Amino acid sequence: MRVLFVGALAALTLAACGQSQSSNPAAPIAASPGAWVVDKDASKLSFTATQTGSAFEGEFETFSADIVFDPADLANASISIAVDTASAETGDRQRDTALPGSDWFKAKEFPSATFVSNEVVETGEGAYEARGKLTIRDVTRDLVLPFTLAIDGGKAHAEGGVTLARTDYGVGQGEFSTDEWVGLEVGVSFVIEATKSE
Amino acid sequence: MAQSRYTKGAIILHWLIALLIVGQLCGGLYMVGIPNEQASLKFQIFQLHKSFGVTILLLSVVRVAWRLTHKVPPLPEGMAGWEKIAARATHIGFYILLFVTPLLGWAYVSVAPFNVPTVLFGVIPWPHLPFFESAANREALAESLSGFHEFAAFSIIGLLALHVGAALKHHFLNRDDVLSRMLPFVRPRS
Repeated sequence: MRVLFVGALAALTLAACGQSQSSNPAAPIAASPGAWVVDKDASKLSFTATQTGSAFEGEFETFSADIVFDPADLANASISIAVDTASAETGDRQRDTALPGSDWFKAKEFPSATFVSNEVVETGEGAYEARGKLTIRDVTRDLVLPFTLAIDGGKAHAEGGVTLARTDYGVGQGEFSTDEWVGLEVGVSFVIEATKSE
Repeated sequence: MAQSRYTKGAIILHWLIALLIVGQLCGGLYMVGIPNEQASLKFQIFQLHKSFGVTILLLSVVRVAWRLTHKVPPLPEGMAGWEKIAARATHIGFYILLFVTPLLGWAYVSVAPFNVPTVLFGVIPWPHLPFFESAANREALAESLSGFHEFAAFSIIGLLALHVGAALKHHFLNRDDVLSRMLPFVRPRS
């Protein structure tokens, strides 16, 4: 069952912010040039996994993203995602009851899974990689998150995904630390719609 | 004069629970033999077993409440003293096992290392038993509880043999009303 999480990201840009006014370093991210505001209703963080051989899909209902991204200034791009681990929904009450439990996300102790980028690099036309750290439960690992991005005026659409081994992060303890009942691979994907913050 | 039949409520509860118990015994004996390779089937049968077990537990509460608030027809005259004692003991044994068996199963599920939440029939979340959920040495405790649960199940099978055998004996040898007064749709022998 179960699954994971992850990082989503999004990307976006800022076009007209090339002007490098020396911004106040203490200012909140939202105020920095290139900041984007994620449209939560239009964005989606989903996952696929297998339970006793059958594939299923799920979604994290709650996550937040702090995104600063300008295609012309990748050096200053940053993506930070926080996922509410208790918000996983898979359409099966039994699974959804199990997921926040101690063998899986242990949401009481680890309420959020995070992805924080160290750098964002361009890998092709409209294609990027966010390289950073993914933390789930108490495990932090390097993660490369590929995504595509299209910016149209003040709107950005990004999507991407990655396959994770849930046990790399301790998701699935005890009897669930093998693939006997629940597959180890979890596909995580996201679609992010964002608006440039003014 | 004492009533000659069980009440409709008692008859419904008796047969409903009887059906569920037979199903649980068959399902329980079957499911423990399903190889782990058939993970999906095994998982689903176990979830159903838990759901029906809780159903029996809840129905048993209703049943005891009914038993305590309604009269039951007397045992036939002419039964030997030991027969009356055996009949009552069998019934009391059933009542005890109606509670003990599902409670042992529930405790087992609560403490089992294979930690899966119970959601009755995939719809109604059912909690673990608090004490067992946080018990130390879960593995050993789970093994004991599993053994007790199984022992209770086999005890039910033993009582069933006595109970059914006695009912048939009353019906076909003694030719009395003991069986028919618990049967739906049947008029008592005149």
